[in-house]
Amino acid sequence: MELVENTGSVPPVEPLQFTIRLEDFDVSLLPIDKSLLAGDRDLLRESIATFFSEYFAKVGGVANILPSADVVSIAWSPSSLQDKDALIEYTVSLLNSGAYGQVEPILKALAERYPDDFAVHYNMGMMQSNQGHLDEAISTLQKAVELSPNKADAWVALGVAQDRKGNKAEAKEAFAAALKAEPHNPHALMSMGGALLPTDPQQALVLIKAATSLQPESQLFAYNYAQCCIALKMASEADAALGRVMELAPFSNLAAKAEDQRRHLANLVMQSRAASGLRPEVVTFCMEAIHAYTRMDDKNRKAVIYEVSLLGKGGFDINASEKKYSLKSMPGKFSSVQLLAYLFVGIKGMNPALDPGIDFQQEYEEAKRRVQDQKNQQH
Amino acid sequence: MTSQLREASAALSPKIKAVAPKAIFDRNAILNSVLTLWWAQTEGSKIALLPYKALGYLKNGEELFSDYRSIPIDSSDRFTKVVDMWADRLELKGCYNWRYRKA
Repeated sequence: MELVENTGSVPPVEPLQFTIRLEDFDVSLLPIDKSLLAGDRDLLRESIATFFSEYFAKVGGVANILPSADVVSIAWSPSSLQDKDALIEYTVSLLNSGAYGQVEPILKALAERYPDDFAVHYNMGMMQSNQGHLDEAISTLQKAVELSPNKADAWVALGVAQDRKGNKAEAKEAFAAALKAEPHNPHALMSMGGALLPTDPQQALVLIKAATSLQPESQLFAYNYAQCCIALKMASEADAALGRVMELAPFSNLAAKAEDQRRHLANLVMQSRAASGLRPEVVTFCMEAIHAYTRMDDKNRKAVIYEVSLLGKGGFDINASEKKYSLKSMPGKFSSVQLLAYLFVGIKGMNPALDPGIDFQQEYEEAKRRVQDQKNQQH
Repeated sequence: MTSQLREASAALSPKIKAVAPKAIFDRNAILNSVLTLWWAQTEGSKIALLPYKALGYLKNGEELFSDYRSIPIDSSDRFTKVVDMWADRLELKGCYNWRYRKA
C-alpha cells in the first residue's frame, strides 16, 4: 500500500483522523467517468487517495493518506492555527459548491477534533439540514449557537431546521433569537416573517418588506414579499413584486412561477370587479374587437393575436387605464384591458373551445349579442 | 470542464474498447489525454490523468502536449503545425490535406 505524504513540519498536536470507505465517497464530482471507477477498484482507490492528497496540499499542514483494500485513511495535522482555519475555509467553499459527499467525512472529523469550533458546527449543521438529516442538524446547530450566541445566521439556520422538522414554535424562538442578536439581519427578518405569515400576516408583511428593502436584488426575497402581499390581498403590490421577480432573473423557474401567479392574479382582479355585474368597458372593447376583426383578413387577424400575445408575456398592468400600447399590426393606441379584449375575441374567433386564460366570457357573450342586434337593426 | 473530462474518460471503458478498432481507440485515448494534460496543468490536479496513466496512454499524450507547447502561441500557423506534428506521431499523415480559404 502506498503512503502519500505532503511536505510540512512534524505537528505537535494529535492529528485529525478519519477513514472513508471506497463505496461511500461521492465520485460524481470527480473528472473521471463513474462507470470507469465502478469497474476498476484500483483506479477508484487511487483517485480517492489523490483527491485527498491534493485537498490537504491546498491547506498546509502534514497529511498522511493511506489507501488500503476497501478504505482510504487520512491523518492530518496542522502546523499552525492558520492551517486549521484554511482547512475549514476550503471545506466550506466546497460545501457551498454542493460537494457534500466529499466534504462530509472531513467536516465530521473536524467536529470531533475541534468540538468548540463554531464555523465547523455551523456549516455541518447547514449541510445536515440540506441533506434532510434534521435531527442531526438541530443538534449540531444547537451546539453552534451555544458556542456563539450572537451569530444571527446560526440562529436562522437552526430555525430553518426546526421549521423543516415541523417544530414551528421552536423555529420562531430561534428566529426571534436571531433578531435579538442582529435586528437588521435580512435572513432573520425574512425567516421570522415567513413563520408569522399564517398567524399574523400584518406583522409578517412588516418584517418581509424590511428584509426585501435590505436585499433589493434578491429574487427569492422579492418572491416571498409577493406571496405575503397575495395572502393579504394586496393585488397591486403583489403584481409589482412579481414583476420584479421576473425582471431580476427572467429565465429562472421562479420567474416562470411569478408569471403564472401574475396571470392568475389579474384574473382574480377582473373577477372581483365583475362580481357586481358586467364590466361595461370590457363589453365595449369586445365589441370593438369583433368589428375590427370582421374588417381584417385571416393573416392580419393572426398577426394581431400573435403580437398581443407576445406583448402580454411581460404581463399587462390591468390596473392602468391609459392607452399606452402600440401595435405594428393595427393602428392606434390601446390600454391593457383593450388589448386583452382583442386577444380574447381573437382566440375565441379562431376556436370557441380554446381557453384564452382571461375571464371575459360573459362580456364577450354580451358583446356578440349587441353586435348581432346592431346587424339586425341595420337590416 | 469537469463534465467534459468525464465524458472523455468514458471513452476508455472496457465495453468501448471491446468493440472499437484498436487503431481508433488508441488514437482517441491519446488525444483525450492531451486535453486532460492541459486541464491538469491549468488546475494543478492529477486526478483526471489517472485512467490514462493506468491504461498506458499518458506517455504518448505527454509527447503530443509537448508538441503543442513547442509552437509559440503567437505563431500564425500554430494550428496547422500542431495538427501536422500530431498526425505524424499518430501515423495519420495521409488521412487529410489542408484547404486554405481566402481571408
